[in-house]
Amino acid sequence: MKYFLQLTFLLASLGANGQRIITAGSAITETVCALGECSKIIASDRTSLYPAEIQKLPSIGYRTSISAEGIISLKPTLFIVEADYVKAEIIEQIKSTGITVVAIDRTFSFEGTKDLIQKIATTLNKQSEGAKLITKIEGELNEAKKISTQSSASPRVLCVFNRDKTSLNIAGTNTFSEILKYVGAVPAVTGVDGYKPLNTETLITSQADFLLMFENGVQALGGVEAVLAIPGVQQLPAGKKKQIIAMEGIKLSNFGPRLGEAVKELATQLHSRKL
Amino acid sequence: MTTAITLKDQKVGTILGVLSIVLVLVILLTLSIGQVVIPVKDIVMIMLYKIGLTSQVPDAVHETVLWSIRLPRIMMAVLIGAALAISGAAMQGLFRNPLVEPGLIGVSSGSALAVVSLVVFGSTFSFASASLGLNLLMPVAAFAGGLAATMLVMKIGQQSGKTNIAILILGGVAINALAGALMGLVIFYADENQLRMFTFWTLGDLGGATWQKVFIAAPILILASAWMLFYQFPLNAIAIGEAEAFHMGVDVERTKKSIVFFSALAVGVSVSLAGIIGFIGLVVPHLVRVVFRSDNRLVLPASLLGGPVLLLLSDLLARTLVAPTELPIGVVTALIGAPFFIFLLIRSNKKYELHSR
Repeated sequence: MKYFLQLTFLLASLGANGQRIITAGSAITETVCALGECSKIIASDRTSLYPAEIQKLPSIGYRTSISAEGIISLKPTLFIVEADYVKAEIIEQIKSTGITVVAIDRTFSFEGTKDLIQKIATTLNKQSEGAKLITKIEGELNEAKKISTQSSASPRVLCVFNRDKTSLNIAGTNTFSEILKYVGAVPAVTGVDGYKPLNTETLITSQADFLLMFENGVQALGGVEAVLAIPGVQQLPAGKKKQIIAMEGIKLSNFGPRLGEAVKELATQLHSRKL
Repeated sequence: MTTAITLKDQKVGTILGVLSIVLVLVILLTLSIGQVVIPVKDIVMIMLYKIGLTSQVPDAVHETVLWSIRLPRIMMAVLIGAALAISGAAMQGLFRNPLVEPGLIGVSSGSALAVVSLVVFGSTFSFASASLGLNLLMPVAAFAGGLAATMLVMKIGQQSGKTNIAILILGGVAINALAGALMGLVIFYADENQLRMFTFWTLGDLGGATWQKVFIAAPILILASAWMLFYQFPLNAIAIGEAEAFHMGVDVERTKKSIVFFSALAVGVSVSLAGIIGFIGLVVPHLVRVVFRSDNRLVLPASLLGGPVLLLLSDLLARTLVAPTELPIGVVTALIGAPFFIFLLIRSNKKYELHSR
């Protein structure tokens, strides 16, 4: 009986093209799902929260807590991972058991998004779906361009990232703030790479027209009113005009299948208001 | 006077024999438990196959997990557990203080600071950007950082030719704070990936064990640990007092230098392999003293055997409790070690001073 159950389980999993996929990296997970293979994902990492059904799957953990034995014990056939997300030794250990490992660079550009989609589409043998997805994003980027060229201004946007009430960070280059390139806006603070703590005086001198934040970040602070009450915000055009943009964090920062959507949404928000 | 702190050789032999058997049993236990379930029968088959006693080819996945993932990890835990525990035992003996531990007096954080700096800034030098270069440079940097921190602490604790233990411990606290701050500063310049690896250095991780690493580290760790074993008599003499040790014919200065050097070597290399794993160096020698007696002829070799036992069991919990992911090993050792440390403080306060005067 036990063997029979195992056999049927095996056949069931083989029926779905035989793939049992583990993903590590939010953009990768989202892309696999966008290509229609969400049901083949058997486990994912802690950053993979979209689409919501992924959250029901076992979590392999986050970066240093990811263990080779843990992944092997789930018996995947394919492990798609963000480059440098997991230690090289762990990747080697996983590969040595015959599991296919595909590593993809994390980037914050449309070029990177294209590469991400193409690589995953090729791996999953979904090339035509991949090409369709890229064309869709390209179309949305062009629409966004039209919206932003209609207004002559290029608003100064300060990208703020926070998880909780206490630590506000500036999102600099090589973060989701790279999205500003696609919406005809300029970063209000330059010369910051990655996430760096936000200082009140920097905030004031930024003279930002808009604050761009994650929805859950704004919620963690206690809503838009609480953001407006942060010391220094009232001294900014963004504060005076109450121009706080909150967007779904994963959509905004993944540079994945919903990049076009995110760019269009942001362009609309930035250019529909008067500066 | 010496009879009070010595044991009969026979009894020492028995205790060490029992501990050796316990260590072997724990190795077998940790080898057979993991996230990938491998039946004991298969483990025996794989082992026999690897030694060449059977030609029956085992399940390839089980073989890889056991031979390339679990076994090197266990070997690394044995080496590091032994190195940390004997370093702790030797330093406690040398400084005649039960609170001294490589982590507490700043050796570990000195090593970690050196390694983190190398990881973050090393890529600007071409020789360090290659992964092999980095793998070879890391133990060197960790050793240098650990040695620098130890020498600094000793210098701070030195008052008119004698070591003032209170000042020494405070010096260690200061060095830990300084190294922590400098690490924070280095981390400020780190990129996102280097930043996430911060937990690796501060809480330890045995997950990246490979045979290559084991083979590079084994000679150094075995040499350093074995060398410290030879200081059983000098440390017993120093336990009575440095002047008394000198009159008993012990070269106190040479003993000090050797132990500081080899413990920095052992701790530094351990840190470069697996980050800071706290409390092994503190707890194991004390367990030996509490359960048996504080004769260094027993404490040093028993720590050498007990360190691996405690680290292997902690690592077993770390890698199985939250499957399919794992806990940082430092969290587990601290969860076991910190309450014990508190117990120790209360006990030594109420009953007697643990260090002999």
